[in-house]
Amino acid sequence: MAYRDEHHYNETVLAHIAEPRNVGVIENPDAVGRGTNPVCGDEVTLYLRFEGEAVAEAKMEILGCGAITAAMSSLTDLVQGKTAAQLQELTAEAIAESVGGLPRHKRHCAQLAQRILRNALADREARRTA
Amino acid sequence: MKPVYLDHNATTPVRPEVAEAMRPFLGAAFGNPNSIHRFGREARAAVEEARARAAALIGAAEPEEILFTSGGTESDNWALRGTIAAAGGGGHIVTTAVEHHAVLDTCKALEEAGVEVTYVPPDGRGRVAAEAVAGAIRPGTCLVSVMWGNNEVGTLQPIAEIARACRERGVPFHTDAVQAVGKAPIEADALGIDFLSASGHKINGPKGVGFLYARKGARLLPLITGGPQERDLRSGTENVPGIVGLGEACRLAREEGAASARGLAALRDRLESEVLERIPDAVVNGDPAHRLPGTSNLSFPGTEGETLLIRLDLEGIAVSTGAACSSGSTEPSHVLLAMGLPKDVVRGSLRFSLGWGNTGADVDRLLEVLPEAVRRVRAMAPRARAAEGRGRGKPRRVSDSRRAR
Repeated sequence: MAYRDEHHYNETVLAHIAEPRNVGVIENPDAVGRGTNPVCGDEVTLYLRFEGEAVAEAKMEILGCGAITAAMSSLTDLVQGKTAAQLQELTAEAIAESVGGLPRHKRHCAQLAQRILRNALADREARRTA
Repeated sequence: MKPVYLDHNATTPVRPEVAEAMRPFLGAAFGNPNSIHRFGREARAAVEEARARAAALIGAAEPEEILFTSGGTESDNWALRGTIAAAGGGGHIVTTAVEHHAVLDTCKALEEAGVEVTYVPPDGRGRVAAEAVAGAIRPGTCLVSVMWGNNEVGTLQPIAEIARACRERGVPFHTDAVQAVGKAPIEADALGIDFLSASGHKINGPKGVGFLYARKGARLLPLITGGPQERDLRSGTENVPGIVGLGEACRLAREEGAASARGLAALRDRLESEVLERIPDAVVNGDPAHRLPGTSNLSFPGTEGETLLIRLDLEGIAVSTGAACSSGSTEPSHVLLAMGLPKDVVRGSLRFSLGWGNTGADVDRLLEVLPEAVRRVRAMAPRARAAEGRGRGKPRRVSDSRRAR
């Protein structure tokens, strides 16, 4: 079996860090999800705009380590065209796999990304029922 | 483009002279120094020559006070565990909050075994007061362990004063001098140091080899048993090629140390002043008056060190986020936290460590890339944070960080 480096970032992750996708803000979004990691101090805001039931646009602002930057960058692509119900099913593992895996000690960053997405979905529900 | 290596506190390139000195011992001169025949005698002579060179570099009274190990971490472990064992177990250690994990984690492990440990806090520049260390000594203190120069911020500790205080109180003193050897003048015997840790690969020698200086008469039990090597104190056939390489690195450091330290300090000072010119709200961490010559720890508030590191890496510039083994660590720097620096400063910190082979062109290249990397990381940050950062036009130096405590 080929050696899989579980300590360093792979090329996909590095490419996301170099050129993160969808950085910015959506004015008048349908959903906003925030997340922080109190230990390392990551701060992330995710903005979603829906057309009908599906995500039409995703943007993020981020101050965080390489892993959370890559996970969020990939997530903003993954969510495109998906419904809220589909996004509820998106796992942290799937987010990590979308960037070719994260180093062992950085896997919690995929969980943080998933939590931020769920925060955004909860925000959308709250706005709809308000 | 030629890669730029600014991470010499992590490891250094093996100098060609060192590789050349090692080469025979990876070939025909493969003898075991403990063998009686000529192969053994040849290897023994080389090991003892290296011992003398290491002793000369750190001002040991006798070559026999140098005990070869696998590196700085083993030397630190040995000094701490070997001293506690020699004292019969238990007891009390005085150390600082800014030590390398080789010391801190060993202290934690010893605490679990019933040893009491006092961690003396540093000031905002990472320096401990000799009086505070001396004041922590009490009946039952078996060892004081204070690093010579800090790996993250480069702060030099008042080693002479601490060694004197320990001597006056009859307590053995160990210093982790892994970062200082070859960069700061060290006179172990004259200063009254009992134990000193050093590493080969931090001074352009090979990895996997280092030494522990143990003053003649200092009480120390072995960690590794099973043979008479290193005066019955460290068993196992000697790493002859590594030891020979370490010896050559010590010789070069002794011959060139002072001049190279001056050159590195000048290059480091230029790096810092020009970074501050281009990024006025950068913060210098550490003690400008007492610092390793090649080390600069800078913070860029509103950024995150690892992301900056990767942006520089993608441009061919290698730096560090400060904590050793940062690729395996998710915790913020224990050194910067112990210094009481604001979270923003801790998170956005980078360590630039210069060494043999660096030139002004390397600094020029960094200056080309770093401001844009900082700008881009800041531009991605959440808006609320960006607004927070707008008040920060004024340059902040170390003294301001201290006030912020």
